[in-house]
Amino acid sequence: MLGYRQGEILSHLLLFARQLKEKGLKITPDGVVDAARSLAFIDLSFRQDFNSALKANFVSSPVDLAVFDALFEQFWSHIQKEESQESPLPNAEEQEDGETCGEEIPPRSQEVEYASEENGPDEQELRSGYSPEEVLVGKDFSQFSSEERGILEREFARILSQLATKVSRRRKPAARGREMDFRRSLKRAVRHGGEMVELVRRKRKIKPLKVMVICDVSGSMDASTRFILRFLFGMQKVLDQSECFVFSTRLTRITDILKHNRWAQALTDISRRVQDWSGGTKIGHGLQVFNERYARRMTARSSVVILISDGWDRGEAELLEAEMKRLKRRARRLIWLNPLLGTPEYQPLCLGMRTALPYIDYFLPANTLRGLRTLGDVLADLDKRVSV
Amino acid sequence: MLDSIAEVQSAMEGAKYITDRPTATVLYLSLKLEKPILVEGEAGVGKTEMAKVLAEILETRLIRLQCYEGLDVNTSLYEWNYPRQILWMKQAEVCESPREAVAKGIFSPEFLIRRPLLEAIENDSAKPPVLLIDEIDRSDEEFEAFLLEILSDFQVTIPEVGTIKARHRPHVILTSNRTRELHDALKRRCLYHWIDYPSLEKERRIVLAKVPKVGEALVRQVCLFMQQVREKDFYKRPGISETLDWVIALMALGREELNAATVKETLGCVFKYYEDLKQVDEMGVDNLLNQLPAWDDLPCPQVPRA
Repeated sequence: MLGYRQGEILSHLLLFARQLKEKGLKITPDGVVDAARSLAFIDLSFRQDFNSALKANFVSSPVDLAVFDALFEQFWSHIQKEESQESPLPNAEEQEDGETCGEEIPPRSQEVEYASEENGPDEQELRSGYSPEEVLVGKDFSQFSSEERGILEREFARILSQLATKVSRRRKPAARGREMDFRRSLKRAVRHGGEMVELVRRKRKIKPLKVMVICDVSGSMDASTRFILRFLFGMQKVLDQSECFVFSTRLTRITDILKHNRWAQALTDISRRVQDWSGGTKIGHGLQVFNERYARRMTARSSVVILISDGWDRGEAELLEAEMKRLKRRARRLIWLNPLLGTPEYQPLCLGMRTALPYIDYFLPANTLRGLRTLGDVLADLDKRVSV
Repeated sequence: MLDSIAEVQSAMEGAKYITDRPTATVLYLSLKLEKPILVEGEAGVGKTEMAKVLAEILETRLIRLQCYEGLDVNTSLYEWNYPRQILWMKQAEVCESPREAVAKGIFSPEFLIRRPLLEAIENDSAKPPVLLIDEIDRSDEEFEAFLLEILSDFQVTIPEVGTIKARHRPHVILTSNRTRELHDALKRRCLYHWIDYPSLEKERRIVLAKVPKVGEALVRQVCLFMQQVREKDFYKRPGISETLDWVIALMALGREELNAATVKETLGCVFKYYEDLKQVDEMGVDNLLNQLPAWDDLPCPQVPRA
């Protein structure tokens, strides 16, 4: 990078920023301007500083770091080569084709000590894995490779964190709140000629959302169970008032296990406690137990109930119908997540599903990110409307 | 003072904050560009400490705003001292003071409670303060939006008093533990810096800087142990603050080296969750200690002890 003049480096910088943007980094004009300003304060011949300065301006999350470093090595080594051939601007077309350029051109020898990582194949992987939105949202969980699972967990965390911030702790004025609202009291005192006639109190604006999850772990659900439990595990952390149950032939409460902090341990404990894992399905019976033993305790219409099942029921349809009706009366909203719904050709034809359908408020797919994202949105939306 | 990256770095180290050149570069640029820094990283890697040390080397005040859910304008910027205003009004009533004077009186700066953000803006001294906005990810979106406004203009309007503008922009450092993603608009206003867990050598230097009396052998063992543990899957991996706590605890107990019994006794300094403690137990402390590589076998550069 020795011997750069200000004007030359700017055009390279713009190109570099554009390539970062193409790779999914959030580059703004302000960011580019500040990056250019930053260069005035550093010694351009010192590559590490140059890297740090651009990084501070262009990167905005840890995921971006690897993408940035890979492109940085590739782009600036390439420019150097071009420079030494006395061509003022890199060939635009070659630059567009960001994947091949740079790979066959090794960095100049004196720069090697700073070039810590090889780019090349790594970079390609990063590119395909970088933005899960397009590729993975519609994909069935059972088809995720082990590398993609990391992305999946990050996505889960993102859906859930959005939920977390929706549980507001803001205050609003209330007749019988715990705290005094001085600001409002004083304002109201003006009406009475400065006399404090009434004290305004305030309390929490929103009561955290209560969610009850009843998840089917029978044999037909095997492919998705693990991922769904992982999601529930995360949800338990965010909505700490929620309750989780699993069933195939009998209902088991697993809320306490999900409160563990380590996922691997929680998973082992669940499989140890649940005796009827991968067994047959008796949805009606499971709901009966739930209604009798647990639903009584929940305040009427305060909880959102989420049922996760494919609806392949081996029990009697009458029982299922009766229990769905009871549940519907107690629940604020009834959401059914069906892992088959994500498949394009699926229609809710099996008896169990047909019986339950009329009582359901939201019918969503459970086996894709898109489905869980919609669930997150629905819950966040409900949350906003729960006021005390 | 602080006119180059190297100077920033050595000043930081002088203040016992062992850092690398990229971190110093970001700090230096933030001072020059007058732009806030958003520092992210795992808990306990020294994000908050960075702001404290910056204040120290700039010889200026540190103003800290700890974020939490529900943090709002009244607790972060300013609030009127209502009880005092009421008392004043009552007093004025008894003394039969003229109304205008009372109205003017109770909304004078005397009755204003200055919260951290206002303090940072109103600061009159020649040296702008360092404003630390700690754990911004714990605040909610409403506050983030409000902060955005403050960070772009560094001025506030209090209806009863008027507009207050910062004479010198404070140096702002925001930290986040990434429990949620921050809004793009806020990120755009900041330089970004990610602090990773320290390398073995860096961790050793940090311990030696912070706990000067510690024995070299113990430091090496502790640092190796920490590096090893961080590669494993724990719910909460220990950061540098845990390393320092542990070393201090070991010294208080008069231990000169790690053995299984010592580690078991003091494990609470390293792991703060029951599940993690249980997992260490399952892995076996002896195993962990036996697996530690010898210091001299490691390819890291040996920096002589300062």
